[in-house]
Amino acid sequence: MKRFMSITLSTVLLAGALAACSPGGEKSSTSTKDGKDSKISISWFDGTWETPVPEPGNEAVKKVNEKFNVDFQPQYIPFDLYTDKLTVKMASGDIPDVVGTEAADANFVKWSNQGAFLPLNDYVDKYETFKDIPQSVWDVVSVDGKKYGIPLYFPSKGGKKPVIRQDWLDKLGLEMPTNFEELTEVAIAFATKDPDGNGKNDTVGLGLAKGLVYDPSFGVYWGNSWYHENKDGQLIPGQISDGSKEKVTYLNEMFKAGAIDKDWAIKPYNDVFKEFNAGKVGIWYEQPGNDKGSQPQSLDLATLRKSVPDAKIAGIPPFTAPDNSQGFAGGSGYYRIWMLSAELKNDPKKVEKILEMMNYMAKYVPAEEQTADNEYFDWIMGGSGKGYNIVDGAPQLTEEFSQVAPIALFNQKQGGWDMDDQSMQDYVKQSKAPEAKEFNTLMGEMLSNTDFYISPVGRIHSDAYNEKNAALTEFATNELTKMVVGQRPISEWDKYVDEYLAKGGKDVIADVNKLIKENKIKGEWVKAK
Amino acid sequence: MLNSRKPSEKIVDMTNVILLALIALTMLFPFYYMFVVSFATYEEFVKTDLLLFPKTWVLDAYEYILGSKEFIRSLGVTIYVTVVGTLVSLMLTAMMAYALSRNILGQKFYVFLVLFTFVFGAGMIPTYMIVQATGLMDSLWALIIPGAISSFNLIVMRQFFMGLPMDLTEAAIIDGANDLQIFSKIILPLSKPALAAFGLFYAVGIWNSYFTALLYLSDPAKWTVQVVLRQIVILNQGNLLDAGMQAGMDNPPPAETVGMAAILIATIPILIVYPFLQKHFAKGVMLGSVKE
Repeated sequence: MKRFMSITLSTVLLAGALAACSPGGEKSSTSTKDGKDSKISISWFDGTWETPVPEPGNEAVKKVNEKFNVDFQPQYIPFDLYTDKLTVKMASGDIPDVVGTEAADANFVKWSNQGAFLPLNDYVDKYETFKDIPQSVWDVVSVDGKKYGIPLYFPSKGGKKPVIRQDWLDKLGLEMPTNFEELTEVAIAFATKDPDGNGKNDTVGLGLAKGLVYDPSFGVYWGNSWYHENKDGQLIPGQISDGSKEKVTYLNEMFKAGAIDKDWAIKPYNDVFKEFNAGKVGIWYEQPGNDKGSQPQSLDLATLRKSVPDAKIAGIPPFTAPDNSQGFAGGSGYYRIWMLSAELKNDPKKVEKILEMMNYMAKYVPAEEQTADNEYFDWIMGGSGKGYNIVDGAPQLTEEFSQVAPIALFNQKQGGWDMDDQSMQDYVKQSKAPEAKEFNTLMGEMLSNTDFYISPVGRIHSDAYNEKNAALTEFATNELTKMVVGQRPISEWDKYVDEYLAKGGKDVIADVNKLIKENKIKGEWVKAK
Repeated sequence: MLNSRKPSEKIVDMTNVILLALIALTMLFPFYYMFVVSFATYEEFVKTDLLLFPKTWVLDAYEYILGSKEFIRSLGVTIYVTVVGTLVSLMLTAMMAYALSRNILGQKFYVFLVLFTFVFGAGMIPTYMIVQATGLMDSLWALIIPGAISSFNLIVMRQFFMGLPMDLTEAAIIDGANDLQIFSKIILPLSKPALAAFGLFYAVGIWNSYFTALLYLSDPAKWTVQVVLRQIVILNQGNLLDAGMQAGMDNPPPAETVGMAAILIATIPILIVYPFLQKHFAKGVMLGSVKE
């Protein structure tokens, strides 16, 4: 047996050694090929939301090859599966020239620290569209001051915002709530005074879903952002702030009065969308965006109006907080980043080529210029009549879009760094259904009058935060859920906060505050114009 | 049979029948539910808490899926991989199991090797590197070869072969048959139940292969039905990709009905195989359990 064991082990080791050698050999052979060929070959690995997934060597790829004189070798995986494959690819040392991710997450920091990516500080200033990227976003994609990623623009005012059944308010003679007290009143009335007039007690005042999804905070003061300070002047997460305590107290009151679905704690948010569209929920959430407000799987005014023809909705503006602030938490202002492999450090020509492509594809075309006559727009969209058609003055994508349009290989544009929030207005023009136009108009109006708070935490990379925050958030969500349904008395709030701190919250707060101080940043307000 | 039993036993029987029927119902109900929802309109699905029988039957979901080139293509890929993969797996497993069931040189050592992989897997990343190094990446063979032999199946099949009387082989040797002839003309025909059972194990495994397909295949044209299916279902679930799916896109039919239809379409083909193999399958469970 012993002999067998040793033979087996040596066989395994040998196999391991062979496997470890081979990929390296393969790679060196491809790079020598690059040297001879005048065309630069670029391997590109990224997630996508396009459907069908763009295939290697499709028409769009050929157009890119022609335009930039490169041999473009992209590979796309649907984003919901992307991280799994990326992790294996990176771990096996198979790093493509360009790697995309959805956000500057813990993996991004880890791989950056391990030297997988190329710092781009010396390059980015040369490119027009990168110049307008705000420092707060550069901070996010940098580690120790080195810019490892190129962020893609995403409006920071996006994200789910509360909406209310205006027709129910009108019918019951109620005003738009402006604080939690009024909200509680409205929610209870929605649930008990039969706003849909069917004689049955079957309506829910405030929609709430498992895990407190979409956080019913109605303002950054009550939300989960790092906004409040503790008595030592340290910034703390929203979950343990006085704002959260107030929010949970009112939610508990609403729950006891039957204004919240009694099963909410186990209800997935998709079900709440379904119930809202069936006309059973008074307050729920949706975000501005193309075709938003008219998508059957999320909030859908068209479906709602099939059962309630005169249904009307309105956005709920943020409440004024005890500290006189009034606004929502803003997003980080970007979505998706692209990194370049560190192996390109001796190949500045290739780096410049890649950045040139990114720069070119990142230009934003405002809605009124999105026509077939606009040469740039027509090219990135795959050509009029092929990748898109202009219908009612707005481009409508064809089924072939993801295979013929070069932009489908790069980014779904949400706007430009230099365009401010132009894209928010463009949603109205670009949405097809009248219900979506209506929804985006009313949300756009509300949000353009709203201030937004940008938390400094997204701009730093704290190991303690990355390591412990998910577990802490889960703990907090569980405890807050218990308090809302009355399983844990709110009088135990201080005990809950102590538990949170003891579970590692203290270390996270200390580390985050240290980094914020070191980087000389703080929470910022983006004021409405 | 029931008549010859005492009344008290009859009651027990009846209770058993009712209980088992109820249990069977709980297993079958999800299939029924998928079936009706896949034919329902979204409005009706939204309004009814538990949809048991739609008033209007529509084919929207099926039109959407069957109209998608990707889905049909991936179904073809999956059928191909399943058929080829099952044949390859069965052949390799049977050959190795047979060889290891005879007294050959180093038999114990090889059995040990097999048992070793049974207990210690190489893990995802080393396997990925091997697939890459052997040039299987982006080839459908990557779904077939790395998992061609399941060590568990191999061991059980070996037990089965060992259970076949040695006299048969000896008689064949006297008649002048060589090893290959003995294997193909005598052993395999005797092992139909085993082959059917393991064929089914392999086929279901390959049919459901999803992560390996995603991992090893970069060309979407080669993705299996499970990958595409998941994509159809997930991409229809608007909220997951609120951040992503902002660009204009045609509204597909609602996620729920499409999801149900897609699951049915992807399950039915492999489900159809079961009845044909059922009789072998029942026998197959006993494989290797009793050694004569």
